This record gives sequence, C-alpha cells and structure tokens, in this order.
Amino acid sequence: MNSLSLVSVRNLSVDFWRVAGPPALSSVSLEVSPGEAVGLVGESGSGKSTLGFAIAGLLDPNDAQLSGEILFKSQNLLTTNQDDYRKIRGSEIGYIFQDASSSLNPLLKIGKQLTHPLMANGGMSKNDAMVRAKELLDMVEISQSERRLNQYPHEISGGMKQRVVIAAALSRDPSLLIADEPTTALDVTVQAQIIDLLLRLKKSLSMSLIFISHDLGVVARVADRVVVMKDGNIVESGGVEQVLANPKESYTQLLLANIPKLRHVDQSHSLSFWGTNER
Amino acid sequence: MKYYVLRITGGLLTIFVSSLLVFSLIRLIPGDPAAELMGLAFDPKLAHLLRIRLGLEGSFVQQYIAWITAVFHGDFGYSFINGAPVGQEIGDRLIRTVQLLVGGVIVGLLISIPAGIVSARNKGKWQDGGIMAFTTLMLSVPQFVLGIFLIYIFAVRMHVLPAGGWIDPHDNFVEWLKSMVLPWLCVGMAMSAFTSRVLRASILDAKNMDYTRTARSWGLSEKEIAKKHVYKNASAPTLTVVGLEIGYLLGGAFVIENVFAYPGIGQLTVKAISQRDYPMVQTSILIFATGFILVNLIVDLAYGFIDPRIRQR
Amino acid sequence: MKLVTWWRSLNTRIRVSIFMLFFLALLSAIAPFLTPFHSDQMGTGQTLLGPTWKHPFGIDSMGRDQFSRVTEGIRLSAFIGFTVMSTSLLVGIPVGILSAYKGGLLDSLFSRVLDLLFAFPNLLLALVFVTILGSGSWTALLALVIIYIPIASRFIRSAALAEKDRDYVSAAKVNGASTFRICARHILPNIAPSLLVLGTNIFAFAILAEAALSYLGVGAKPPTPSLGKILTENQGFITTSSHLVIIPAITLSFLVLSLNLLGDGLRDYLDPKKSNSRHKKSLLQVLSRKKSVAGKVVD
Ligand SMILES: Nc1ncnc2c1ncn2[C@@H]1O[C@H](COP(=O)(O)OP(=O)(O)O)[C@@H](O)[C@H]1O
Ligand SMILES: [Mg+2]
Repeated sequence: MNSLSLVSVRNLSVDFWRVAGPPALSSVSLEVSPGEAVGLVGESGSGKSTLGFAIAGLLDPNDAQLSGEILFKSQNLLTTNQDDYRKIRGSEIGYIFQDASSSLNPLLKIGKQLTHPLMANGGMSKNDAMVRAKELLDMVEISQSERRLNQYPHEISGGMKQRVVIAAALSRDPSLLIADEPTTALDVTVQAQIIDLLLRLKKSLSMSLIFISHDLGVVARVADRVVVMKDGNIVESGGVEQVLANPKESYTQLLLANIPKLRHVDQSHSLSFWGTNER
Repeated sequence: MKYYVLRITGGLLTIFVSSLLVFSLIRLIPGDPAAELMGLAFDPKLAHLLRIRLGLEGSFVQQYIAWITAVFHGDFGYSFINGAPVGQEIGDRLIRTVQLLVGGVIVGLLISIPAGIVSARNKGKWQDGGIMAFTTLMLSVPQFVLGIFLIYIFAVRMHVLPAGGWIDPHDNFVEWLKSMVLPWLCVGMAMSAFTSRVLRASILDAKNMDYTRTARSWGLSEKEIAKKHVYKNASAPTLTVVGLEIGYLLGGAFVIENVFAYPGIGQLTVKAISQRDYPMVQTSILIFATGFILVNLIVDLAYGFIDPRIRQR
Repeated sequence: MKLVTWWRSLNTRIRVSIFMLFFLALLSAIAPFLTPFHSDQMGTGQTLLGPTWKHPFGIDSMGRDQFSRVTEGIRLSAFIGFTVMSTSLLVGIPVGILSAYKGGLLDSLFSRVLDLLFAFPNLLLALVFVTILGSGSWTALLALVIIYIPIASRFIRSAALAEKDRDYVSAAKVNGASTFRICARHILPNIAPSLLVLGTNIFAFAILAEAALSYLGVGAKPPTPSLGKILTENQGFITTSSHLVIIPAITLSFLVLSLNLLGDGLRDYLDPKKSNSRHKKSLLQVLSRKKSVAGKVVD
C-alpha cells in the first residue's frame, strides 16, 4: 500500500440487501497510482461494475451495505458525508457507462446535458458552460459540434453518444476516469476508435484510468496493470504483460482462451497483440 | 411540424367520422319519430311536414349533409319534446359543464401531483403506504357513490356546503363557489387516484433510469436530478393518463351532474335519452365525442412537445 | 396440504380480497333464508324505518326490506359482472389472438374499428347503445357486453402480440403446427395469467358501469334492486334516513374494492419478473394448464 496512490481500496466488501448468498464483493483491495491505467477483467457478474460503482459512490446505501475503506487522495470516501462525496465525484471522478444509448436523457438536447456537469455544485454559468460544451465535443472529435449541441440523443449514432458521455465525464478534468465496458455495446470498428480516443485523452489529460472489461484483448491494449476478478474476489493481479503471458490462475487462462473479438481488433488496426508499443 | 399537422388532421378526421357515426346510430332506432310524437293525432300529411322539420326526409346522405351544414351554422335542430332550438338549450349548459370539469381537473391535479411526488419520495414509508391505500380505496368507489358520500359528510352531517343545485355566480358569487366545491372535489378526487399512482410509478421509473445514474456520476444533487431529469421524464406518461382520465371524466359528467343536480349538459342528455329526444341526444353526444377527441389531440400535441422522439417520427 | 402451501404463497391483497368476496357471496347466498321478506314486497307495514333486528338495513320509502334488496343487488351485480366478463373473454380471446397472430389486413382493419370505438368515452357509448336499444336491465347488460368485447380484444391482442415472436412460437411453426394449435396450445397458455387479471378488472368495471347506468335511470327498471337503482330511489331521503343510502353505497364500494384488490394482487403475484419463489411459479403453471409439472413443483 503506497501512500502515493490516487485511489486505494482496502478490504472493501459490498453486500446487496435484497440478494441472498455471498456478497457481491468480499474484502477486495486495489491500488491505482496517478497516471496509471488499471484493467479490471472477469466474467459477467464477477463484481467489476460493483467495484467501479463503489469507488464513484454510485451505490445506493438503501440497496447495498459497504464496509472497508476507499481512500481517494488519502481521504476515506466511505466516511465522507454524502454532499462532499458528491462534490468529489463531480470534480475528480469521471464515469463512463456500458450502454451509451441509455446513458443520456432522451428528452434533453446534447448541449443542455453537457452543461449539467459543468454547472453542478456552483460550477460555471450557463453561457460559459455552453461554450465549454462545444469545446468538449471538439475534444472528443465529434464533427459539426455546433450543430450537435442542438440535437437530441436519438438523432446521433451509438458511437457518437459514447463520445458525448466521455466528453461529459471529462468535462471537469477528473484525476480518475472509470470506464465500465465503454465499448461493449458498439460495433467492432467503432470500438477501436473509442479505445484510441480514450487512450489519447488519458495521455493528454494525464489522469488515472480504471478500465473495466470482460475482454482481455481490449484490456491488453489499454492497461498497464491487470486485475482479474471472480465471484467478488480478486484472483490475480500484476503487470499486463506478465499476467497475460504467464497467467497463474486457471481462471485467467480460461478468460484468455475466450477472446473472440481480439482478432478483429488486431486485423482492423494492425496492432500487436499486447499493444505495448501503444503506450 | 409534420407530427403536429398529422395529429391535427387525424383529430379532425375522427371528429368527422364520429359525427357520421352518431348520426347513423340515431337513425338506426326502430320506429317513426314523427308518428311517435303525434301519437293518436296521427295525420300522414302533417307527419310528412314534421319529418321535414325534423330532418328525417330524403336519402341518408342528403339528411346528413343538411344536418352537418346546419350544425356549422349553429343550428342543431329542435327538441322533440318542447320544440325549442337545441343549440340554445345546450349553450349555457355546455359552459357550466366545462366549468365543472375544468375546475375538477385543476383540483385533481392539485391533489395528485403532490400525492404522487410525496409517495415516490417516501417509497415504502408510512406516507407512501397511506397514499397508496387511499388511492386503492378511491379507485374502488364509483364516482356517483363518492358524490353521495361527500354530500352525506359535508351537507347532511356538517351542514357546511349545499348538497347540490347551482347558483348563478352573477347573483351570488360566494354561494356559487360554495355550490361548486363538492362537485369539483368529486371530479378531482375521482381523477386523482389513478393519476397520482401513475405519477408515482413514473417518478420511480425515471429515478432508476440509466441517465439518472449518469447525472449522479456528474455530481448533480438529488434535488437537481429531480428538477432537471426526473420530473420532466415522469411528466410524459403522466400526461397520457391525465388525458385518459379527462376522457373518462367526460363520461362521468353524466353521473356527477345527476348526483349534484347540476344543470349541465350531462344531466340534459340523460333526460333526453329517457324522453327519446333524438335531436338533443344527437347533439350532446356529438359535443361529448368532440370534446373527448379534442382532449386526446391536445394530449398528443403536448406529448410531442415533451418528447422529441415522438415529434420527429 | 397443497392448499395450505398455496394459500401461504399468496400475497396479502389476494388473501384479504378472497375473504371479502367470500363474505359477500355468503351474505347474498344465505340472505333469502335469514329474512322472510322478498326484495320487492311492499307489505312490511312501515316506511323509512331505521335498522332493527327484523330489518337489519331498515325499510325504504315504499315499505320494502332493505336487507333483502341490497343482498339481491349484490347477486345482480355479480351476475352482470360475470356475464360481461365471460362473454367479452369468450369473444375477445379468439379475436385478439388471431388478429395479433395473423396480422396483415385483418389486424389493421380490426385496429381501425377499435380506434373508432375508443374515440368515445365508455359511459357515453353505453348511453348511446341504451338510446338505440331502449333502457332496461337486459339492454344495459347488452350495451356493456358490446363495449367490453372490443376492450378485451384489444388488450388480448397486445398481450398476444408480445408473445407471437417468442422462440417457442417460432419452434412450433417450424414443426408445422397449425394456426389453431399455435394459438390455443402455445400463445393462450402463456397469456393466461394476464387474462385472469383482465377478467377481474372487467368484472369490476362492469359492475361499476351497470350501477352508474341504473343510477341514471337508464339501466334496471323498478322494482329490480340494482345497487345503482337503490341509490337513486333513496337519495332523496339522505337527510332523514341516511342509512338507506349509505349502506348500499358502502356495499357497492366494498364489492368493487374487493375485486380491485384481487386484480392488483393477482397482477403482482403472476408477474413473471417478480416470481422467483417456487410457489409463484407453480400457480403460473397451474394457470397455464401444465398441472402435472405444477404438482411436482408444489410437493
Ligand atoms: N443493484 C443490485 N442489486 C442487487 N444485486 C446486484 C446489484 N448490482 C449488482 N448485483 C449483483 O452483484 C454481482 C456483481 O455484479 P456486477 O458488479 O454488475 O458484475 P459485472 O460488472 O462484473 O458483470 C452480481 O451477482 C449481481 O447480480
Ligand atoms: Mg458490469
């Protein structure tokens, strides 16, 4: 446990009240250093999203019981009051959800929704926020950004929606970005573009990244370090090359053997399997 | 734009078709109204004249065209019972029925919006349980029975409000207001039961949507989320239900007006039906159907205004 | 034993409503044996009497025993509700399922006609039909049947629409099952739970509508003791003999409340999304006529 960590999760357990059986997370520990990209892998239901939600404080205390510690810049978030936690979440932690199509409110224009994170907690004025919203769309490489501000989510493509969600998540210059399967719902070619974008933005904004995926191939391209989860436990972790080249756990081997999409990503972008030269 | 044009044309078309329907339904009734009216004093020549006056001579199409042209000129025909022009008889009553329903709907919204919001906010707590139990009860009490209960409580037991009747507001405004309280309350309570349930369910739905979670991840407070997302998104399904309820209330007007001896169009219609006064029945049914279609049209337009996906389809 | 397990698996609303309905049924069934008075017999000697042991609900302005009138009113309501429910389901099931399954011209024609009917409020439609057919108990009943058939059909159509593209239907189609077989043996059992809820709701609505029509004087004719009719006849005496109005009013509300509770409870109970307990599944299967499987699950 080093004190230089941006995020330091210690013995975190999460138990959903309404679900009988073992807790969704049992005594999980995780460190994320500044500027580091950590890949969180595991089959569906292994607790990846629960861990991401827990760090961002998105679990409703009426639904789940949390114990342990989540230190963010040395502050224990689990003992922080809801209001302060919310402010930290707004300014320091960005979150990208799996399903871009439902992540945006269908009844509000893109521009208006982008102003929400900017104006939250006494942020910008409405006019400044609108100007910044356009810049953000440019940043995530959306064409005709001026026009997009006045469009509704159903009028743009899935990939573009995910770019908008990324723009919103990055709007307050967070020091941590949690991307929860950000490409699972997208086409393969769009997937590669979004991953590229995320990698570039991570570098230029010098933030830490927790990249959640059940696809080891994608994680290999993105992450410095891999953490493998199973049934609410961390079963293996280490440098990305080390874990992927030499998986100790049979479970990790199993995951490695099931990378159907990897080859497509490889072919379409002629990247090496490990993607090490990318970083 | 296209959506609005389509909806409005659709609405007008439905009004036309329903006028045709009403017209032909009345003509399906067996027997000759002229003969019925003249009774023992039946005289073929006079009957012929009477049929002309009642608009019952000529082919169906001719009759319909004559009727609808007259309607456009404000001429709704003459009552079988007293020969008075139907339009005149209905005019004042129409205004009173509109007063009854509009006031009642406002009361209904004043009840159901806070009730829905409070019970959604306190889901599972006693406030929620109480409101839900009350709405279940309200859903089961027929409108006219509700009216009777209200009369029993406020007029018979407490003597604070009149049991029925109507006072001209120009004569005595305060008495008029007092006479309107129970009918408005009856309409409003009947409407609020279902509306507040739907509002509650829609708020809870919207609170669980992915975009609400996204907004939470942006650091918005629950208050801001409610203001910027939840209420707007919950209003769409609620609006549909309010439209349905108003339609239902149009039907309920017949009953409520009878309970409170309220001189509106519903009371007139029921009397006309039992007297078989067809021009009267025909006209008031047309008015109710038109009102119903208009309400639905307005709801559709408002829905399009809220939801861009509908508007741009 | 099975019965006890089943009863325990029910939710409170269903249990309470069963008690309420049972109470009403019992009351109206044994009423003729409890009191020697017939519902339209005027010769009780007194008028406008308050409740006594001999006349527990009092005597109305025409000297008739209220208890026998109200209990007969319950029977009449139940008869109307049942008739309207069963006829509208009997017609609605084949029409709705076929319309959904066949689609095409038949379906769009069907939908247009229904749209038109739905352009009028229910009670208004009922009044129109009563105008044409003349007023009376039987014509009111007929009018309600005419109105609820399309409502049931439309509901069943949309329920069937959701089922017709499911895998099991496609599988049956591939196996060469006939249209009738697919509709009757595959789609129908799967929408049966929602039909039960629909039936309960129609039952309650029909009772309400009949009471309203009779209250307006275009339904049951005197001396028929429809609950709505009893209310109109007695409303004039609400100041002096309020029990003559309040008792039938409460009875009618109680009847409809118990049906609504049953419908609400059934909807939750039968909702496949919520049913994860074994007993819940078992009733679903019982309703889907898979009794042999259900038997095993319950044991
Ligand atoms: N809101 C919730 N309520 C109850 N159980 C939940 C909830 N969210 C997740 N779970 C349970 O927690 C476990 C982990 O889920 P999740 O974190 O979503 O897995 P992953 O993201 O790895 O697919 C699963 O068993 C899931 O059923
Ligand atoms: Mg997940």
